[in-house]
Amino acid sequence: MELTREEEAILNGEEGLAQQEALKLLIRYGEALGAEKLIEVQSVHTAMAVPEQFAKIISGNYPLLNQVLLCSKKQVQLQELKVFTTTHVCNIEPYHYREFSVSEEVMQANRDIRAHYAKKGIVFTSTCTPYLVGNVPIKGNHIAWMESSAVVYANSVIGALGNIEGIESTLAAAIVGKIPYAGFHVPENRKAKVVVQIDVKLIPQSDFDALGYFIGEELENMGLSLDVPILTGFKPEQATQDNFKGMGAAMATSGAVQLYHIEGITPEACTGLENALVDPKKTEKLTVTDADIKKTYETLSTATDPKVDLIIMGCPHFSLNQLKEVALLLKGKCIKNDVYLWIFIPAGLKELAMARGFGKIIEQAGGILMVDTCPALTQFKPVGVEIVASNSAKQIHYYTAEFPEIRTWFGSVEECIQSAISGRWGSD
Amino acid sequence: MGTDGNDREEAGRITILKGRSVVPGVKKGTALVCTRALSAAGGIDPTSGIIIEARHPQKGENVRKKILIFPNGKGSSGFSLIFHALSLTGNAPRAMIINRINSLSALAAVVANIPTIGGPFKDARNPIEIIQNGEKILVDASKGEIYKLED
Repeated sequence: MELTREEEAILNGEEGLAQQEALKLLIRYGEALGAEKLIEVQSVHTAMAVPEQFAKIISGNYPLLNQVLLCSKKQVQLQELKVFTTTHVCNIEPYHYREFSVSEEVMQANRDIRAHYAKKGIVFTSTCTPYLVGNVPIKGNHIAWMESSAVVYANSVIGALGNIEGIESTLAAAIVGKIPYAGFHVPENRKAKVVVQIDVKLIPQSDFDALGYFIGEELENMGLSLDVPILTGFKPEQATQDNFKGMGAAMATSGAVQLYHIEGITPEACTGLENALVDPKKTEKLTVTDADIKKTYETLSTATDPKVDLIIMGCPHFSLNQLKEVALLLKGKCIKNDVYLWIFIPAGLKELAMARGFGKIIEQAGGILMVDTCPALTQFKPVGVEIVASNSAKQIHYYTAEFPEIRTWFGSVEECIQSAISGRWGSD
Repeated sequence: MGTDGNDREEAGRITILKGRSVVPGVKKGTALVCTRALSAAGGIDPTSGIIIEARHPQKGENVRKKILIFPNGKGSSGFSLIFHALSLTGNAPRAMIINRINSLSALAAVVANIPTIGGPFKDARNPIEIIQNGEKILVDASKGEIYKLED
């Protein structure tokens, strides 16, 4: 890989051990990707959610944690970070951890990790949706982000440039301020190869989840999972943050989509189809019909018993708009006894929702606003829960991987809330 | 040996594929061929190496000490962390052969330090179709070459 004079100096240790070790990792990673150089990033989204296997080795020794994460032979003290850096979800819910048998010791270790890394400049947003709480790149920014759904959103909807990164590469990027110039950082790789004709009536937001889940899986089937799709047939009024948030998350769950375009809507396809294609003569085609969407709903709904025990929403974390929708549906209502309603949101939005009243409506009805985390990570499941409902294709995919015995209902936010009130799925 | 002119014999070994070195190293072992893209977080149990993704055709198989072959990485950005954890707990595959490299699989190979060969492969061959599940193979990830071993 070609290094600048500045990078050579870092590699020689002139900027300290942290930068030296982080750069070594980025170079190895760059070579694995076949990158020719590194590129400066304007935004980092990393994680400080350390799995048990690591926590045991580390037990509060942060230089050792840095050593493990940077794959270094030496313990590394962090200096000041070079880039604005926020965090992904962590594995603990700060208000409800006792209900899930998380010990005080583990909670305290989590608080200590936050305190330590906050001093180094990391902002603990603890969310899968950094773009909802202040880490919002602009078109053309290079980013080093974790969280597949966030990267798809930033690439596709915002027009930032990035690959789905991991905890190791994002920590290194925060320290050095760079990431390998490969994949979707390179403009030529961002052109679409697959034209996806959307011949479908899409109404509630969950339809967009189903659409994304179908496209991701179908691209896998076609052997085109790493190629960029361009969707056609979208109406301007369908272009909302919530629809795209869920659709991209689902595509990156059933498939490996990191970037999609929408003809006439997203930034790199707003001047039309032709300009967004690699080569108009060499495109693959996929048509999505109403039957495909119906089939996807059926795939994601494995329950036959209409009983619902737990409703999980907020995957990716809910926006203020979605919280408001839930509050309107729950106003003056009460969730059925023995049914749990969990809504996962960024901590910053909970504060705002509580201050503006609609958070309180949800809590008074019996719903629980969960912050900082996600059930796929915490492996939360109350005793006795057999059937889970969700508006999120991604949630159902990962929750059933963790708990294979669980049966599911997949549907709209409205259907989910109705089931929370009645304890039964469907309108009977 | 094969009739394909691209196959060649070298010290009793038959080169069956040639790709790009992603992470160098030489390992031999038994092939575990995944016929679909692989998720790691929520796809592989980091404490055992068992594939847990619902509806994955190789669900229940174990990647531990295998030569892991798959079309491409997909899913959660926890991909590298799971391979990193597999490596720290001794459950990592010995080597990997990946048809198409993306950021997920490249980073996982690097942080877990698993010798890995990635595509594109010579003559557009697809390792998923060429290598049989359970076959004994030798992976020279430094040269990017894969050899079939006699049983």
